[in-house]
Amino acid sequence: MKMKKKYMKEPEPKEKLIMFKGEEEFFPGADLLLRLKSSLALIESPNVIGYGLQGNEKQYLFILANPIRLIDGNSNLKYIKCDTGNYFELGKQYNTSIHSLREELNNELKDINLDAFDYAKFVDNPNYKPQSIIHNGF
Amino acid sequence: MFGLKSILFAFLLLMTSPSSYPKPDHINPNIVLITIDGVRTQEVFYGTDSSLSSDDYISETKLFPNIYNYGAENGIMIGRDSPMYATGPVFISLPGYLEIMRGAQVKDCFVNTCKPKYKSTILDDLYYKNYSNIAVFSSWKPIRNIFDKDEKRFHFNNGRTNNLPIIFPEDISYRADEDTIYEAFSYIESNSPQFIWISLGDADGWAHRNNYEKYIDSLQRSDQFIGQIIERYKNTDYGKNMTIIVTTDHGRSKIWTNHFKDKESSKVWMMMYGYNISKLGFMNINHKLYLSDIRQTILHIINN
Repeated sequence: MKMKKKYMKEPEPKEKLIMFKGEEEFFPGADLLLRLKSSLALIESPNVIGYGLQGNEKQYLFILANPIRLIDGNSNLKYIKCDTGNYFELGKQYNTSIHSLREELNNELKDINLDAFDYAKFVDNPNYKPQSIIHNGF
Repeated sequence: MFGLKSILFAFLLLMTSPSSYPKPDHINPNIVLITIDGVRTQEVFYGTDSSLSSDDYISETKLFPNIYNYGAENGIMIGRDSPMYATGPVFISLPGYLEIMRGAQVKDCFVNTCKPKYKSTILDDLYYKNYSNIAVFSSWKPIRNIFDKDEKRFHFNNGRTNNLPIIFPEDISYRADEDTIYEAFSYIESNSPQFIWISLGDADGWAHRNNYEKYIDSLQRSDQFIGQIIERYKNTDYGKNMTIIVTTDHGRSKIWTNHFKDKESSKVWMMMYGYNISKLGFMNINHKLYLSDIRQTILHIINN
């Protein structure tokens, strides 16, 4: 029997939500990398290891380790939601299965500032003109 | 003053000059591009990594018998004697695939969730060279974001559909390589595409999950698929004019489960075999090669 739609939908908290986008592929060693779409919330953790900015949209990158503590940075904000579907209540401490972080990851993130991104500075051969690998005569 | 006859003569001369029409024997080769996500040069050129596995060492030629038979013995291998790189500055999937498709450095996408503005790709080149059937199959759904969402000229088959099993529960839109291979093979059988890009991704998925055994298993299955494609079509009209190109979008960091900004993960490789590919084995070129060279290489293959 077909279920009524309202019973299939997961109930959502009524408070204002902010969507966080996971970037697991970047740092698979950590279970949770949150990308804040704005600076509405702060995330407090001894294991926050870096942040970055991209384009005109202010985005902070954090990697969190166990345990994490989320602090309200805006009085209207009570929950955050990850793209994994989990809700986190601000101000509450969570025990997660997040792996310990590595020093290498810390080093990788600390110098990112994509807002003032100078492409040529970050690649070895910025003026490279692509060409065929094989040529006539081979 | 030129007379009418002189003008007509000049026009006819122009029309019949050798450069004004295709060579009579020119054919458009069938291009099969296979990408295997996140496969580092370590395994391709040196075999299994004993620091990550307690199993017996598997040499590179036993790990990739088809890539070595067709690439190193009867075609071209790049990445060992002539290093090849993803340009970066971040060595992750979508920028890597964009670099391959666009044949240019990627300055507008530094995350896998980016929605880049559409720019011309190798698919456009082929379309304007009258390639009649152009297809893109991938295990990883975001591959579709490389192309315009309203694109109708090409056939797309990307990511998992609901009837298929889930291999990585964190990403239910991801389709197992086994299913992508089945779909792609079926499409080749029934449509004989003149260009098909088949993008496999299990290897990277298992590497991120620190599962070396399954990473190696994925590599072996990918190599097996390459052999199957070549063997299946080698005695057919389709296969006689077929060029197969195999590469990866990025390598892996020193910590093998990762890839991001570490230059180690910029190292890539490439294999070519078939129509218009000479038996050169491991190529040694005196300058750095990049993923962005692949578009020009394909154009060279189809123009000669």
